[in-house]
Amino acid sequence: MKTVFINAKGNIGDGLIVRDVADPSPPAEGEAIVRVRKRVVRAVDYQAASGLLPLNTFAQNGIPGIDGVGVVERVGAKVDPSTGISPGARVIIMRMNGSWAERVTVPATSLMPTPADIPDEIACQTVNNGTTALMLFRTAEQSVGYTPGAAPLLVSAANSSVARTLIGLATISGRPVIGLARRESDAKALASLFKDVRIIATDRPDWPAAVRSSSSVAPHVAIDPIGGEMMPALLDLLAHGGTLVVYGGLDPRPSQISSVRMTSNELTIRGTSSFGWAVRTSPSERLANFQLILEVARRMPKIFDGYREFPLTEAAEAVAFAQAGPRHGATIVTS
Amino acid sequence: MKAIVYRQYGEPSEVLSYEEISAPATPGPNEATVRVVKRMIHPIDGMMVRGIIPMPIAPGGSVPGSDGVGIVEQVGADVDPSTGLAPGKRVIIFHAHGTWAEHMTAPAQSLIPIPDDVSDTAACQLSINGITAIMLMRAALAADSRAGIHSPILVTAAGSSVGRNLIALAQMRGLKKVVALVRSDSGALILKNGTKDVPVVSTQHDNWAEAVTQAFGQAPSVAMDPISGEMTSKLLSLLADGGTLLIYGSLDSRPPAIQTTPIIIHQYGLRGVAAPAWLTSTSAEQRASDVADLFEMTRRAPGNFNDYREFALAQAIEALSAAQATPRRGATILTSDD
Repeated sequence: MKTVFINAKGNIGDGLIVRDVADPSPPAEGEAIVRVRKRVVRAVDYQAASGLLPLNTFAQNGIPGIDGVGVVERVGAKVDPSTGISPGARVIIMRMNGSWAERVTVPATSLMPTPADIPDEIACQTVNNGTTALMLFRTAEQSVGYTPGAAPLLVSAANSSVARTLIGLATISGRPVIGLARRESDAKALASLFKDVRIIATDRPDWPAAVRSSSSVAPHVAIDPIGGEMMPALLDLLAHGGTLVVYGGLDPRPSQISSVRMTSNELTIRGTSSFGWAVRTSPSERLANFQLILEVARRMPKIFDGYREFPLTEAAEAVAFAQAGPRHGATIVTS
Repeated sequence: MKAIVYRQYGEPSEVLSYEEISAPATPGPNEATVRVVKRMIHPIDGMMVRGIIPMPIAPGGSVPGSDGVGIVEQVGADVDPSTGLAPGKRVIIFHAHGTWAEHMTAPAQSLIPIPDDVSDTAACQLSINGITAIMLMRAALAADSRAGIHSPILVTAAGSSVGRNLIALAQMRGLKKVVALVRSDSGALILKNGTKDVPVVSTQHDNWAEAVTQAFGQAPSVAMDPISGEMTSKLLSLLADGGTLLIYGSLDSRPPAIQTTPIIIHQYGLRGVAAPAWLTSTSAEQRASDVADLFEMTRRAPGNFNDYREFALAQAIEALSAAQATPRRGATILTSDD
């Protein structure tokens, strides 16, 4: 079977090779063999390869891929058929190492049946980015706590796939959202996707004033993957006691924050990662939460439009495309 | 009555004056008038006079000071008798504006009766600095319920009044893993003499960050810091994964520059803590229990309150400049005696 390997530490685009390796041996107790059909190119795939993240955590044995969707081929002993994990079942692989192969062996507990009404190209986008969105939404809801439901969530980089899923979650949960997009054109596209959400482009100099005037209640939580200059701007917009949830550093420049404002307004900055969330919560808890993501996929399938697919043999091109940016949809590697 | 007044922001020597102003009127509902006898000078007092933390100036001029100790003169209507507030009662004034005057009106909620065995001098040092310490300790345990037991708590500027209160509160609660950070070896020596069983590390040495971790063989899960500036990112980098940095001041006025990626990878939290929220976000029961804890801490760690200098209210400018001197030791207190 074909498998993608990271050739050498460095630029994954140059360093990826496709090799033929032996098919997996029969599954052991509690395991299943899945023929993987689709997996989204993740930032961690190329960040692990370039040494930004630990290679052994994100690309064990040099094979990228931390999730995917496919079809169960075989199950080992003691896999409970009542879980829906049986040969022929379409499944989502919630978390694994090395999904950039045609076949993988995984613990059956890491699989979830894909609902029949959700196609693979959407299902593969719900995992990971979906769980990140869920984690962010849960963190936001915990931080909002005592404030009234009218307080909007302020979501930056609103056009990213995580943010779109997050806005979908907030929308179906009745929580108002103010979205920030980098360009006016993105803001317009997003506004057509989410009719009830105010989207503000940050390429206009007065965007903070536009945020302030768009809601009578100041945001209690802002959620940001950018960092850099965005961090102090978002802190300035938060209500007293508010929380800035950060989950990315797209702008690598350090953020200059005001400690006077942090203390006098009792603000919180909280760093989160879905990896940390996976460690802190139980699989059953995450699966239960995941039903909410599937509901977003059903009710707002357009969130997952705009993806591009590459065959597994063109993994290097897929990575180069995903890295090139700016992109609006997922990059999917298919087999 | 006499008061210190300013009518514009600026250097205290240029904008502060000691003058005669009218005494407060009869207290309104849920208020009391207090004859103020002592107030402690805080960094925020100078920041407000200079306009660094802009507080709108009242039309006739503003009186600085938001805490102190005094004696209740008159109690307004609707003040719950169970608060113990009555004429003649000694009270701490917490977070009520204009304490640098001989008399003032304060909301009853801002007045805390003082037990007979706690002196005015100790009580006036407890007001903002004691309550800040108790809020920080609660925020630390909210961030990590096992902080101080399973993982160390790092207290920076540990020789300061809040720092020493934090150490005393931690010891009172049986939290054994506390590391104190001070600026100099001489400061470390003074602190070591006053606090038992607490490892003291001085930032005078380049390897201080390692020394913090080595103190208990573990990275701290919570750090409490009033300095900010360059200290913020240094403190973040020595926290354990999932750790929290509690910020409660800006002694270094330069804005902290922080990197997002380590915050995410290590899932750090940064949280601003300010004493005034004690009145708004803490229940009355919790406040009563906090006050009892603070007085108990005062009894157990009397040494924390012995180091002070007093100035007459009329000498407020000299007192402010003494309070800003580096290195500063102990409290600077403004007194008015009859």
